[in-house]
Amino acid sequence: MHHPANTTEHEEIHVIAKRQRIGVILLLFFTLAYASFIGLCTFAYEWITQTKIAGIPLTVAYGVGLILLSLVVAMLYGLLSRTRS
Amino acid sequence: MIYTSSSLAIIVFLVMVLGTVALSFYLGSKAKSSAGYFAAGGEIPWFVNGIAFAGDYLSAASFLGICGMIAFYGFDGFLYSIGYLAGWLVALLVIAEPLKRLGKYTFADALASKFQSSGIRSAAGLSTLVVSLVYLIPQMVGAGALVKPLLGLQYWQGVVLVGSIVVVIVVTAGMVSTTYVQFLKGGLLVLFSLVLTVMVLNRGLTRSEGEARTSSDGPATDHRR
Repeated sequence: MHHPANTTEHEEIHVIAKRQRIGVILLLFFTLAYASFIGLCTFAYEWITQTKIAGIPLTVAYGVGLILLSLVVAMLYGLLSRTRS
Repeated sequence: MIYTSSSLAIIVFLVMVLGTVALSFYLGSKAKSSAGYFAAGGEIPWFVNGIAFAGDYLSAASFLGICGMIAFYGFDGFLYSIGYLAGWLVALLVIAEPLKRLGKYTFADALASKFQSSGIRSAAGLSTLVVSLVYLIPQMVGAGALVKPLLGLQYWQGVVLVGSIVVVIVVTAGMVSTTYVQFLKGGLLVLFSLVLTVMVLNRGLTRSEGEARTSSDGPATDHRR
């Protein structure tokens, strides 16, 4: 026999699991970008400080890019969580 | 260094302090339950909460500390500013929603209810205390250092004064007053940072010969295009 309450509960669990998966994937993506930045600053300091992109040092471009990326990731999480709920 | 206090600075400081303490007592009288005290009853508008988060991040330690580190150490100081954002994303993506769903007010409570372990509760409590202590010291150093030139007080007097005000605000109304105080602080900081940025950019992107010579950032590098 089909129970609507159980179905709703099951759907909710499914949505929560999906949201958690989205959160973890986005976090892994940002962590990869962040760890690459810290890795370059630690092990390739000369290269990252002397390379320029459109006249802007790569260090500054990458750092500001990470700040903007964090905003994009936060908005993306909000958007994906909303559409999947 | 000898500082002279400005009466205007003292008046602005007193207006801000009395205003926030009065707001805190007013909001405190409205908080009647644990949910009201620890989670503001879940009734803070998203816009206020967002600005309050920004205010929290633009604290004395982060805002002044990062500016100071960039001024003294250049790019090496800039690295630290990105760490704050990385930490915020961890909280947003993997902690905030499960914590809300569990209906608990603190991270330690959520862990304890999930794992039913007194060891985990103790570890969470201990790490909260250690992190708070390490976080609080630069905040208080920043407060003392700010009050010194602003009000002409001794360093220790600034620390005691600001520490007492913060304790009163937080204890009287919990998260409601804390959020609204952070909202005020965040809003003012964002607004005046914007004003300052416009004023600085208004001077152009080049330095005069005199400024380049007196710069502490090593030799006078010419960035002019």
